[in-house]
Amino acid sequence: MTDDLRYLNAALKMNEMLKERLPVRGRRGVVGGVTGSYPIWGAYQPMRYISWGGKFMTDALMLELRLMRQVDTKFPSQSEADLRTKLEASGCA
Amino acid sequence: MRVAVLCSSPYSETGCAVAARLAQVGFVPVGALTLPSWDRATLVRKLGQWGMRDSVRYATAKLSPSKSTSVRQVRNSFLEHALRYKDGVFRSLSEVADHFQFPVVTVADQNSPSAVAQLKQWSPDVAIFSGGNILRDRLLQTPRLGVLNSHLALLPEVRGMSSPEWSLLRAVPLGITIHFMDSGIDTGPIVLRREFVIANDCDSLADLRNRMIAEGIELIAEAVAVLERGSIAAVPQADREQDHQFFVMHERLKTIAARRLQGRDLKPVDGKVDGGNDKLGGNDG
Repeated sequence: MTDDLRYLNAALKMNEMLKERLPVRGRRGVVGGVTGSYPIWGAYQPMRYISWGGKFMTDALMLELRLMRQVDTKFPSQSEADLRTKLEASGCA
Repeated sequence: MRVAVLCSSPYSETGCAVAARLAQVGFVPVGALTLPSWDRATLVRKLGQWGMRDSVRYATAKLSPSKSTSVRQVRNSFLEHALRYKDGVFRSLSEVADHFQFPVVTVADQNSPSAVAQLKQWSPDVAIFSGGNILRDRLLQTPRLGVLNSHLALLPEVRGMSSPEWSLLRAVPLGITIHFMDSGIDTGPIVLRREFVIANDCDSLADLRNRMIAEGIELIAEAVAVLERGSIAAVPQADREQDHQFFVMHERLKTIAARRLQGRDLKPVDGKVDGGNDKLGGNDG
């Protein structure tokens, strides 16, 4: 991973957008499915719910869970002393 | 010092506070250029920022302020000292303008030829940006010294949107930077940079933002004063090309930022809020 939180920020927004587009009502085979196109009549796989779309989305959601658990350990908040050092180094303190 | 104010709306509380505060400290604006109060783009932006309930409440207050609110209230209570006068508060730029006697002109686009022509007519030494369009070079070059912006983070460490939140998440000290705007995103020369050390009094991110906005307005007034005295030179950002730009933070990351805000314990040096440095040393801003 890049250790750049901006990618995680973008990924969270993307996952949220995908979740909003998941059908929660309808017949079996449709509920929870990921369409192959957006809009559904668009390019790539029009008028289809694709199995690998569901697989990739599940992967993305599990990765989201894992990364969100790691944020605090990988990007810890810093002590006052560390912040003060940073501030002095940048000529602001 | 001739100062002009650029506002996102005639009812922008921050815009009103900037104009009023400048006038209170002796820099009555030569004019204020504002976008219209309501158009489609504004409505969509407000809905995105505040959600449906607050947007409707705000729109109702604008349409009929006397009926919708019995007490004249300020959304950001930390702006109250700038907005209060006699027995009320400034609710619109026109009220501030009537009180302090300066013109307000509404334009559809702050970069439009008519807006630039109006600004040229006022011939300000400096313009203060309190919201609106992304400004283009033609407008940025119109005031003699440039256009000042208050950025709610230390530059160049955190540029772009959600800057207090990103500062918390990346463990960068919280701060406010007053800088001249250029064609980049928060890449212009820095005039003032202050650490924001009262963050440990804040109980939420919204509270932090409100306090920082108020502090930013004070720093804007201070920056105008030091520019008038000529006692400070804007320091160009050395790493202008480096990528420090951040975008609007997702709510889940904001939750972590809020937790860090509540957990932090950064005490002011010698009990002072002011870091004490007007001029920034070095090219790193």
